[in-house]
Amino acid sequence: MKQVLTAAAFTFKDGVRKKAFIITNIILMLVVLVACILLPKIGSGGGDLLAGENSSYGAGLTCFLLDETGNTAIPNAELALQSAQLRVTALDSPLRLEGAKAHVRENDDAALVRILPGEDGVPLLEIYTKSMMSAYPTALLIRQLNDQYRAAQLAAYGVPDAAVMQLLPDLPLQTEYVGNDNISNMVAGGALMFLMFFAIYYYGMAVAMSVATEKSSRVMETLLVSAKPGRILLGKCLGSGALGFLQFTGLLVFSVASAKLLLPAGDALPFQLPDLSLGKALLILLYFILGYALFAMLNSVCGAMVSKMEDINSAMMPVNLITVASFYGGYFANLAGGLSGGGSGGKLMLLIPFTSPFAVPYQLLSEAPDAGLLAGSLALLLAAIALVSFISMRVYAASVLHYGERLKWKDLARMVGRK
Amino acid sequence: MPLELTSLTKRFGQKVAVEDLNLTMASPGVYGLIGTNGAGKTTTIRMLLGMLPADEGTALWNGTPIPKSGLRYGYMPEERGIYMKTKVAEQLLYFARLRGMRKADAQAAVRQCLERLGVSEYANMQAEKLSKGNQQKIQLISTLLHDPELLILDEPFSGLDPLNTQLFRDLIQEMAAQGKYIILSSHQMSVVEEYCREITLMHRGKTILQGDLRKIKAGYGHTKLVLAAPEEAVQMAEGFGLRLCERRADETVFTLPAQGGDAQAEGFLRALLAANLLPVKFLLSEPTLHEIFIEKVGSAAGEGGAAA
Repeated sequence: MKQVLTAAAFTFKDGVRKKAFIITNIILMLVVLVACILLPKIGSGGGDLLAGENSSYGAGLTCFLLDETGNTAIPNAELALQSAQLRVTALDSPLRLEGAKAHVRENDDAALVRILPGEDGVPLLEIYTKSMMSAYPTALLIRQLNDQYRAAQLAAYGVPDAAVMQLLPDLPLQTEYVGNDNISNMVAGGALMFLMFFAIYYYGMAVAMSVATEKSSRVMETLLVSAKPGRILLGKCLGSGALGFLQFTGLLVFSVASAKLLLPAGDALPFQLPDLSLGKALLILLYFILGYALFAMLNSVCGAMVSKMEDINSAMMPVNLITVASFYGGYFANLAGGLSGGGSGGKLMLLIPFTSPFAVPYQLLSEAPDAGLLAGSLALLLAAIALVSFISMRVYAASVLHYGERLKWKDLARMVGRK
Repeated sequence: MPLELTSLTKRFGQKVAVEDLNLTMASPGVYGLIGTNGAGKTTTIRMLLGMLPADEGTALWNGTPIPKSGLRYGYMPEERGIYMKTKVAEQLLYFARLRGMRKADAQAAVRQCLERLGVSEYANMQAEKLSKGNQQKIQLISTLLHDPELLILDEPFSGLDPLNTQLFRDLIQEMAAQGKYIILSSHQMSVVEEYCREITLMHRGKTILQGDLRKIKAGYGHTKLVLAAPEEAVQMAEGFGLRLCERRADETVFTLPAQGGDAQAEGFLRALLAANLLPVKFLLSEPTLHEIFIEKVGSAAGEGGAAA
């Protein structure tokens, strides 16, 4: 155990000091900070559009207004739009329609509103903007004209002005998502899956590179005289894993702290931050550790197979394919399951040891998976780690002193069998 | 018997890498393990260190199977292996800790060894910034840190300049004098000849020569005469059956006849003295290890070729 910890401590210290590790952390922290600063700005764009009665969102925008009802179906429509700070140009004749359209066609900051006669005396609104992607606040136009129409109608029925003012504003609204289609948690789950995938992929690869480097630089022979191969491998995986864990949890803590400090509470965000209880957080970390252990052990075999660093990529190809396929399998099965209210494909991904490290954390954020399913998933994952570790350590011990051409998988199987 | 290898055999598929190797080291000193490339030296060392399991035979240290004996090894592989990007002292400390040393002891040993080999100024430098010779010193230090009982040095002098070679030589002699068991694997026959009391010569996995080096050489008798004398003396030599072997700047080497060589040389010396041609040097020598090596490996290769 002492040798395992010694190898782990050395691997950890070696990794922490690497420039790549330091630079990656700085970049990731900057990304989090920039996201925390930009998200409220994005959120303030559409979320609050209709919240204020005296919104100045329309300031500087042009609005052509043409009432073709013949009976001024919406009285004081021009005034209503002007109160939203719009520059209103009332068209006195349909003949000017084409000119207004031509202006709108060329300008993002202009719109044309036609009030047309509708069924049962209810006017029809026709709004023209430059394109579907135009940023023109058409919702504001609709809101102003609707309010004006309703106020006029109510007044016509003899409703006092004070009552009209009470009736027009929307009721206060707060939406809670309790079902599977909680988009915020799904987005957070997806982001977490990506983060875990990269951490597991990157640090698993680091184990393979580390083993291959020690082999190609012949340090391995010095090491093997000092300790058993299995202990070195375990220490190496532990050290790299601790490094990945430090980065992963450090980034999570930094992100949460940044969100608490920099993000405004409540409605200013375009999404809700996910609810993450301590239990769920611990389970996510557990899956991260177990997922890393599984893939790191597989990667170590790739490192032991080669004698030259240039062979490492081809040796890692099968494991990389398994990792990427597992990630996408977990992701898409979850996505499909989440949108359709769960399915057998999603459940299967929770149970398969290679996909569960990616699928379960996603599920934990979007909904609470069945306890039995979770227990089964953990048991299978642990069993797979034990099996893969056993085989990997044998392969590692058998192949780590092999020099020359890259070993093929069938050679490895033969060597392990002999050992 | 501290080190005893009995019928040690290792096969890789159909290829026999080491065949029925028997080797004993009864007392401290330097033992030479020599052979051509692919002779099986490295495989033997790996089996000896427990890095490779033997297919047959045993490797014992004081009667206990290796590596379970708790023996403290030191192994300096032929291909140098240190962490190039890691600071010297840091990696040495790591190697020492892996061998079970306590941190304080390991730090003291690192400091002491760095000073002994004159590289303490590089303690906090990355290994890649050191010269090859100094990297080799670091490798040797990693071998010695834990004060090993059995030391295996694979080509320790390759790539060293004369000063560092002398430093390594002194160190090996010092360790031998301290009672260490040292196995020296080298292609440099002069080095093996200088240090090793006993040798094993391997070729294609087989032991083709083994034993006390002095006895081996004595078994060959005198095979050469090295003469430094006036030119007329050289002319006279042929009359005594001495065959000119090599002319050097200030001396000439003759090959003695296989039968009665010593008697012929004696007759030649008497003739020189009678002719008043006093030789500055008249040396009868046994074959060098290099010559024995060439002869043995050559005949073994011939036998192998004939068999094939």
